[in-house]
Amino acid sequence: MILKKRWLTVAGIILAVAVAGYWGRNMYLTYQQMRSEVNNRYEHAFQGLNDHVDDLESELGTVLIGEAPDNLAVNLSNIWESTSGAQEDIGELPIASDSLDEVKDLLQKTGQYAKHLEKEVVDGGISEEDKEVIRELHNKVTTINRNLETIHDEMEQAGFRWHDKRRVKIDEDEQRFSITPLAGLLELRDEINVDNISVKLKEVLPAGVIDFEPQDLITSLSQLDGEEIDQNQAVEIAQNFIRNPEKYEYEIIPNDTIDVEGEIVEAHVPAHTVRAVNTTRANETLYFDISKVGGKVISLLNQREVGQAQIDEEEAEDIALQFLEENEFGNLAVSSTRRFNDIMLLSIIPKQNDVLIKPDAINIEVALDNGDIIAYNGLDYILNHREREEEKLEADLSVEEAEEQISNNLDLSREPRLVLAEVDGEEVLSYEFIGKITEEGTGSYLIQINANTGEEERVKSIDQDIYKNVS
Amino acid sequence: MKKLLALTLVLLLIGVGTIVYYGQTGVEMEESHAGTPSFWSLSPEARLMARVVYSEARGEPFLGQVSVAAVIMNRVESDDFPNTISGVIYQPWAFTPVMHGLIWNVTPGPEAVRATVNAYNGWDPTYGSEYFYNPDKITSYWVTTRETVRRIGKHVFAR
Repeated sequence: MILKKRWLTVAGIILAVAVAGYWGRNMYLTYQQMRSEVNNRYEHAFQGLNDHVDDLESELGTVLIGEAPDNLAVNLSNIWESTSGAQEDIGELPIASDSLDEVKDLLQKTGQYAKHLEKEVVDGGISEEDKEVIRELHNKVTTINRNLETIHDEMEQAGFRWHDKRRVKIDEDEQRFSITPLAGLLELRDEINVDNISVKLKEVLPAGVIDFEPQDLITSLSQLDGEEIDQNQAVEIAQNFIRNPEKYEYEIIPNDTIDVEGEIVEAHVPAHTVRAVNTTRANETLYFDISKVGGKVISLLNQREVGQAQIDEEEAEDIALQFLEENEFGNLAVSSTRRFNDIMLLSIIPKQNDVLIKPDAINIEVALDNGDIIAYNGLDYILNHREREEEKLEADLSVEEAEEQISNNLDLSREPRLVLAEVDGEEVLSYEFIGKITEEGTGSYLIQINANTGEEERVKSIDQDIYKNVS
Repeated sequence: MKKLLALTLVLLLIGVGTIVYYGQTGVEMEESHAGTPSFWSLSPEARLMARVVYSEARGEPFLGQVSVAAVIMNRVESDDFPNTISGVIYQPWAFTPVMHGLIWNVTPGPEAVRATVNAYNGWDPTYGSEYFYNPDKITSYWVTTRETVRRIGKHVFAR
């Protein structure tokens, strides 16, 4: 009896070990598969980067030697495709986002430049100066291509694997990675001097095609006109801004410094943050950002749930306009509206001489349950609004003349309007036509016709991808 | 007798383990907001973004949720990051909840959905920040070398 029991125990243990072993082996195999899957994916991205840069090198070369406009146009659009492909590949590699800055920068500029040249080609061809810049770009891309190939060779020889790499930072100080073949990418930094090419691009490009110094919001906001305001003034401005200030309790959220793990760091937010808690209704909190210089309300966000819609869209438009009038914004027009369930999003634009000044748009959200303004964004207005020169707002063409340029395939859904809109960094007076494709009726499109030359400045779809396409 | 006890103990452990394992996902599901039609009226890409916002910033002030969404939008605009929302979100090691697959266990509530819509339409309480981190949990210290913009709730936003 005792003997039998012992054998039973032994058998049980053997069985347990066998089951555990089987399970472990399965796990191990799965792990191996996953690891090689990850490896393959990263390797694919790196190989893709190689390929796209290789293509880019030949495409830039063909633009240098080709003359026929139709060939040029095709090659230029290929360039754009290769640059964006290479950018995507970089995004799929497990490297830190601030590595390879020079390469990313060069790819971005090359792509934008090619897009610009494509338009030039249609008007006649590429100038000698442009070819000179392309030659320069070609040299740089060739360097990158050689470099990537060398790195790839070394990787294979050294048996480099991607799967255990996380956020690889390619930097002299980062010893961990400077011993891998990836360190070769470091040399690129010195060899492709992007500043150099930027100077050249600036010389040949019309202003605005590439934004060489993207607007720094924080600097712009701290250089506004007006005096610096203190926290109490900020609360006062917040109170004056909303409809029922007496219903809220106000509090300044100090934001000059941040405590990061015991270390006090300076924060650069250019606004005072005011929090207002509703004392009569639970769960309603307003957040105001009020510029430290000039005391302008940059944004308002209301944290509260929105109930079933009670008011209609026209009422919401009136509420938004009235709200802005109470805050001393004059002469406004609703430019576009979007409904998202029980919330209306409105873009409201100031007018000057009946021209809509689009760069100065104010965005507002109205809750359709009771008509509260639950979000306000005045950033563009604060940064751009000023009196435009009168002559910039006078159209040479009439609406009828402009309308002749519009395709028959567009069914207008609203009256054409005269707008001042930004095209390639410059403000252009144009007639704006909005409509749907004839007989299809899906999707809204916007066409802007230059009000002085009759040229088509812009055609684009204005549907937002954020919402599901509902028919 | 002893063996029986050991066996029961083992069985009990396995049982508890199973309950904990399956219970965990159950808890996640219960936290989700059942009656949130707004989430499902978003396009798939916007839903993905709302999932990240919710996973990263649930329980944060609304301002903080809009900020997380704004960082995603700022990355899309930036030359240093991929040019699409999904490219930015699926960048290897970019967002912890994406890395762990947690974004698929949640259904974003109305606040996260609104935060996504707001950021998509231009609201940016971070003034162009491309990074955010939780100072209590940071694992890589290089983020702290960036210029900090502001702190909202538990997140620090930096350029």
